[in-house]
Amino acid sequence: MFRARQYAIFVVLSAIFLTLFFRLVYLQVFNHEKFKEMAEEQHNTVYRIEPLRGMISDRFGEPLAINLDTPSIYANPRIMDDKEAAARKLARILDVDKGVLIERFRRDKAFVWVKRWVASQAAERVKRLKLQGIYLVAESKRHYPNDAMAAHIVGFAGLDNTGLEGIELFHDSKLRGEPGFRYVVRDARSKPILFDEKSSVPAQNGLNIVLTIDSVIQYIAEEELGAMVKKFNASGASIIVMEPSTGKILAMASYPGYDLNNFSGAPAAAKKNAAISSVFEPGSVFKIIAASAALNEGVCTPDEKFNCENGSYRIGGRILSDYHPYGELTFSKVISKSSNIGTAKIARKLGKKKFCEYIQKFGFGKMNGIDLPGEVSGIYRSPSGWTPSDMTTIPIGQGIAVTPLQLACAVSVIANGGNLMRPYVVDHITSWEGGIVRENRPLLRRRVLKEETCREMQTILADVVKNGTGRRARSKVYTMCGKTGTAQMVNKEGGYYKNKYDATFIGFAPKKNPKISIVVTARDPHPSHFGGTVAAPAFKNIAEKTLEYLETNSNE
Amino acid sequence: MRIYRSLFTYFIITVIAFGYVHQRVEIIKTGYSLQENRKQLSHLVDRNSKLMYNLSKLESPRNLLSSVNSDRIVFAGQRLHQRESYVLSRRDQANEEFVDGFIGRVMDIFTEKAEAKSRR
Repeated sequence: MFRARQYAIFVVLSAIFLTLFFRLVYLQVFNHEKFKEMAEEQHNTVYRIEPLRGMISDRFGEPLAINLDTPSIYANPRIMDDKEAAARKLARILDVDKGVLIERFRRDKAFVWVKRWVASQAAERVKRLKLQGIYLVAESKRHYPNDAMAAHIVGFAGLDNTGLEGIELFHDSKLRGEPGFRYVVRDARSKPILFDEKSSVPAQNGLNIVLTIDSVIQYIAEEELGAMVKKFNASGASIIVMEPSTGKILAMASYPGYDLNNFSGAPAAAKKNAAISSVFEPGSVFKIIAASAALNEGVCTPDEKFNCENGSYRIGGRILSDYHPYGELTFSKVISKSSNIGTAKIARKLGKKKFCEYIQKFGFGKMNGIDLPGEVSGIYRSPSGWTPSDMTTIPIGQGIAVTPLQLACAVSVIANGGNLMRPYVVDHITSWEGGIVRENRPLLRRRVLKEETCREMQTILADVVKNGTGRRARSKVYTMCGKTGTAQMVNKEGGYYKNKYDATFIGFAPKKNPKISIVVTARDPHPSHFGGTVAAPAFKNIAEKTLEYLETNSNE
Repeated sequence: MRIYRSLFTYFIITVIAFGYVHQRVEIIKTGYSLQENRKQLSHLVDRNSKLMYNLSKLESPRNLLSSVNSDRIVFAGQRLHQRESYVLSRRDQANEEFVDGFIGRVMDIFTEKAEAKSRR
């Protein structure tokens, strides 16, 4: 009896084992490929690892653009039960159109976005609803800690972290990085269990960019820009602060500006970097070109006298007039009093060929090659097409259009002893680990003036501030050098506006060893419209505060 | 005897099979707990970066200077004002504003003006 039971158990167990054995043979041998394929499809998947976008910081490492994980909400319409109710609830919380959501939920898809980059409070409320088929995912989003500061330089990245303006656009390929891949084993509910680290390819994060911009100087420039615009009701304005010896841009501000964290709400005009992409007739600030060219070529001396015809002079088929009538003025006084007649006579003495040569040498009519998108070359007509009157109007800054950046580079030539430097805003590029990948160094484009000429021009420009049209730029501590400019605005329909002006001041400080050159422009300021009244005080304030910040002594 | 041996073999095979399954379950459990830790790590890293963001926002020169400005505190530049104090007193500020405002307007009257102008 016992023996029979033993046999019975043995037979049952053998039957179970044999059944299992044959089933395993059937699955693992005869259908091996089929089931292997099915299992791999179900268990193994590849996740794309998004790289982190490189950060942008100022020259001392103050962050200007960083990444933060922000919740986004998506849906799987195939497994949603009450789509209308879900759309109604989500629309209320996320401030999205209910109709749009219903239309998305009706699509036969396993993935549709509900809203990307939502506020964390709203994401929490959605999570609490526990709606079927609605999920949250963390996405990396660009954040700008300083909101509107340096907006035109930093620019912004849009959805999918693609650079759309400023440095974000210009260096997009470097900032973006390379995505990686991770092989994942997941369970029946698609939940990841294990990562296959060996066969995974890590993401290469974007490179970090360190700018030449100084947050403090940028703040000073933007404050003064805002105060000037408010006081003189200007429709547009820009300020550039540059290191003349290297071409480093320390600050660049344009009005109107916009908030980088809310760029979609800003008008297109506000996104334009006026400092490099707006052109205007420079007016009297352009007189420094004719003056320095004449001194450099040795056709004039600072003490040479010019008859300024008591304020009215017919030349080249035009009547040239001065705001104040002058008789005889020395070369220096022609510039410091900003006499149009005197400057036209200096340019005539220099000659058209040489004058044109210097305009080009100073970098007008061509882009300066700054590492920012949107730079324009200005308008400089070919000398072969000049009329006789052009030799009287162009030396006084009419009939030529320039950008504020071109003026900054030109005035820096006089400040640094005669070199035209390439302006730049990216100081160096580093890897995510901190190693320097690329370093920008000052680049000499060409030598424009002799040192002796620059010294003479510096004395003349200091006299403009001390005794001439730029008195409002005078400082108690530092010797400022500069030139005012007031030019009628060009009417797009032809001619000039009678009561709209561009007010400009360009200069550098301190005179002995210039640390900064500054360009201040204001578009259509009123009631006052003179460069000496509108732009010169802003220049003075920026220069004083910046030099104080840079710990520059007055006698340096 | 042969039956016992076979039963013993079945037992061993079953134990090995259970052991294998147990090991697989443990691997998966460890995988889940690794996932959970990873999730927590990324949550903490995210919180850290958010805190760093807020900190850098609060520490940014723009934020500090605009706070100082809104409180109408003016720094007394050592070279500009030749003072020992780092902050300009209200009285000094009023004097500065007077100089910039009234004196500035008076200076405007006496400052020479110029305009780039030509006509046919």
